[in-house]
Amino acid sequence: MVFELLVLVPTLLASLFCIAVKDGRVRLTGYVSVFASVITLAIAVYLLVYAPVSTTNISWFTVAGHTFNISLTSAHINMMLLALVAFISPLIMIYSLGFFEETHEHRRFYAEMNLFAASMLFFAMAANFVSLIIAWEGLGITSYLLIGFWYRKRDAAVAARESISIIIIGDVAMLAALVILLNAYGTTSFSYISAQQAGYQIYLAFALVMLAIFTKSAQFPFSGWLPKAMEGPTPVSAFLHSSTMVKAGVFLAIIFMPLLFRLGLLPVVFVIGAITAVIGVLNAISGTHIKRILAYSTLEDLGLMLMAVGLNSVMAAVLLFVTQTFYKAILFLDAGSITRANNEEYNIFKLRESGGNKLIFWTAVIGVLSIAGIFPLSGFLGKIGLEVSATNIYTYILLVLIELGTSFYIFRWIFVPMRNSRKGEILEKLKGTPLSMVIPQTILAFAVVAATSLYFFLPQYLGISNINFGYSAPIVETILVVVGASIAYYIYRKGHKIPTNKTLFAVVHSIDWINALYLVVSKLALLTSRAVEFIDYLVYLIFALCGFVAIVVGRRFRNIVSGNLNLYTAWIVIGMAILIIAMVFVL
Amino acid sequence: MIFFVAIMLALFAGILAVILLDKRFARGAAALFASVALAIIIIMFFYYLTGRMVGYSESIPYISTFGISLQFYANEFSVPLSLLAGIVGLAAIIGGNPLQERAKASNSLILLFELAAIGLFASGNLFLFFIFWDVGIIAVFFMISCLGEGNNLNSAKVYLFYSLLASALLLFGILMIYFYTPIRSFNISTIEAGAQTIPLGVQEVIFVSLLIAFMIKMPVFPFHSWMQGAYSDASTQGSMLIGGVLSKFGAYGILLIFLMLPIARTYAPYILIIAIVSAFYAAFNGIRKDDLKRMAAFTSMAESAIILTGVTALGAFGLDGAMYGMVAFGLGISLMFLSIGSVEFMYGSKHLSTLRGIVKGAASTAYSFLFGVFAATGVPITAAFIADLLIFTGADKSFGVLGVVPLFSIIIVGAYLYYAINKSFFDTENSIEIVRYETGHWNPSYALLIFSILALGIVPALILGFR
Repeated sequence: MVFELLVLVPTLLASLFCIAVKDGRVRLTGYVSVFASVITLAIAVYLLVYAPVSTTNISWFTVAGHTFNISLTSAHINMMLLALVAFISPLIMIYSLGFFEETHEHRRFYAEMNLFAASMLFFAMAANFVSLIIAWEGLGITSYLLIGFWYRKRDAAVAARESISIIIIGDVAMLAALVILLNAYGTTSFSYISAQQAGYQIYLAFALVMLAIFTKSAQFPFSGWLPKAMEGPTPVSAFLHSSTMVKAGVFLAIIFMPLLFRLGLLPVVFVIGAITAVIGVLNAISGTHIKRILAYSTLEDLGLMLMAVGLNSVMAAVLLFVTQTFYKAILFLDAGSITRANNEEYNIFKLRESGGNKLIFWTAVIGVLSIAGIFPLSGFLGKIGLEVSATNIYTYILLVLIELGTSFYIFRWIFVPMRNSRKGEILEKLKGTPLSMVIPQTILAFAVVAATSLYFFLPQYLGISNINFGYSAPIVETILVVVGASIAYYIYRKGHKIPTNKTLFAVVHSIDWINALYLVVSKLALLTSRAVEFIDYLVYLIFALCGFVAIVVGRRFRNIVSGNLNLYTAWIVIGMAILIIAMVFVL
Repeated sequence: MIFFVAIMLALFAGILAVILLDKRFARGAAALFASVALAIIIIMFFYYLTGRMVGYSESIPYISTFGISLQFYANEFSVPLSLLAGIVGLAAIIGGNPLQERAKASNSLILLFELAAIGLFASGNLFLFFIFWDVGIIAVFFMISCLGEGNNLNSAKVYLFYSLLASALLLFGILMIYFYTPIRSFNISTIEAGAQTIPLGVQEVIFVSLLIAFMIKMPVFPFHSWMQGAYSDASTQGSMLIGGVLSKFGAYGILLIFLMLPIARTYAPYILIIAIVSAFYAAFNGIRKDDLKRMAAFTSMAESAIILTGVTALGAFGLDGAMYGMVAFGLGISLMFLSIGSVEFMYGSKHLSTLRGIVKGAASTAYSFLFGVFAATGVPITAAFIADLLIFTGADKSFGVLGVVPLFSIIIVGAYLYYAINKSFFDTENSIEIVRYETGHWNPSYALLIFSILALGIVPALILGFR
């Protein structure tokens, strides 16, 4: 049924409204967007609960008897993502109401934000590659616009450019995959393609799809754009990191897991995921930018999700996928509130009064405990699921180390700002954080707690087998968290002098390697370009040479038509002589 | 009904009006007559979409001794391409020349070129094709040499040399076809029917000469040296028309070769390789360009290579895709050239190294350029996406994975275009001052082009037909 498309209507209308509204009423755009997203949520919940599993094909256009369909599904896993996006988006919209003080940019912000949400909602329902690629590139473009929202800051503009330069690789790869699959099977429907056996074309196509997944989910070596994307406004970061954009790649990997397994591509996914997770953890440990630490944490989460996919454990991947949404959203919103009170100071060693507003502080604590993996909070489920699915001891050790690192950096994230002394003005500002910014965090905190129940009914809803764990896994998990937290507390406790070990930081700070890689690639491109330009010059020279020859030859023979009658007579005589000689000798 | 004749009469009346009326009315008259022409094209388009144009042709006897008549066909290529020429021509008239410098010359040349373009796309025989081809070339020559700027005389010279070479080869090829087909005829459909009987060796000669002629016009590596200068030194309107319409002359010509000459199909793989080389060649050439117009020129060249891929692939997907590509890329690239021209008008420069923070002073222009980049990189809901989709589906069908390779040149094109945007449009930290303030004349043109791109991107059936 076409009813699913209805879910896109409010956000698209709101976006159009934001573009069309007059400058005098910009404040209205925010309220309209919140209203639209709440309606979207209502529709999404309805779909989640009542929609029968079905696939809708809307024919878009026909070429040579082949109809390109926009195919939408209401499969349970898709509806789960839809509801997740629809749940987060009103919270972000409400938060943005308070976050943006200057109102003249509201129009652009909400227009782009609504388009972003619409792309992700559309992605959530996509059931073939045609609809997928529309959503996929829509996400890329809107995220480009949103990351570069504050283009007045040079860093933001550069971040936006870098993200789109990487995203476009995935977009092109996705289109190529679509084309190959379309020709191989005559359809691009997910369900049909998932059922195919391994073959040369599907192998190639899915290598390209995986490339697209890695770019969109910021996996190694395409991970560089994500931490830089922090230059966007905080609501954008919260939205982008929790439920949209980067999750799109992982979601696609989850959907195509059985096929990737049959094609034997899962080990690749696992290795790339593991590398990314390690990069994320190491950088989060050494980072000082409050949002960037969270960005690296997202890298780690995405890496873990792909590791779960690589281990062929659907449930672990889905649990990580869902629970990460809530705690990452909280942490970003908290970071936004705190930095806003601190006059856009992002260094955790310079931030003050992180505990000034009790509500903000305690929601942040809930987020921190959840991401670390404390038992009853939902974040714990994904971590456990992953540890239980580890197939060999090396994987397990890697996961334990990552877990320990996670616990350490996230407690560091919350302990370090607490070291700083109180200062009146900032405290006042923090206490006076608008209600619209605090409410979403509170709701999310409840969601983090409530999401633990997913363990019991998600498997049934999605029709996948649950993961079982005994007592040992939670105990080990808790010990790891406590150890990490204790180390963080020991080093970063109030009044303690922080050891400054430069070599250690040099080793763990690995983002520069990736940037160096990009630098090499762009240098190579420039070098190639230089060579090609030289060839271009040569091609032009050949043409110029032809012209030059023509001119020289012309100059030689120009005198023949000088108008000199004597010369002409001479030429006539010579010509006739040649003619006569030729006639005599040839005939 | 006499659609094409009516369109051409309207355009011709426009030329007369522009020349005879006072200078002040030049743009108004030109815009009026171009709108009339566009209106007729749109009416024709509705007829075409509803399937009432099947087998439609107009014929007026002309030189009956050689069987030449003024013959125009309305088919799946001529109607959409006429629409392209109509839209780009109107957009150029409205927005391309804000101060109306040399108003009479610029407006009448655009109308003349539009007439030539529509005539060429619709012409039913090669005689007309050749005549309109040369008229178009001459019109553009004056746009570069008289109305251009910078090193325009030299560019015009190079352009003219290449174009004359192309014309000579084209004429040679046409005459060869005429003399070797059993029923001596210039008529395209007659040639299509009788071309099998042309001896293979002769076919090869015809094929190579026509191919080079059209490759010069597209432009495709290695016959592209005229392009840089011509695109960047022409007037804004000239650049729009060269990038948007003139380069499609060549693409349409190659399409005709493939439809006419049976031997062309055997050479398809080689042409694909030329297309691949040309796509990456253009993309890499664009990276280090400082002149925005040159950057857009190489983008256009990469797009031409993609269109060539579609033409080479043949089949329904390839041909429809190539036709869609001509329209989509034509609209997109002319939007890009128009916005660059506006930037140059306002800031007095088109160089990446000096332009900064354009979005501050000229928001509509900056966002139009951004939209042009979206259109060039084939973002969904812009027309270029459909073109890419169809072209590469066709290419993959005909050549396997090798056919998809040119697609990847878009990565490089996107990278440098976004770099340019970032540097000169959105870097507001040390933005430069506006020299001449915006007149706003180009805003309707932006709207027209963006609307067309979106409409064709969202409802592809507009061109592909509601089948």
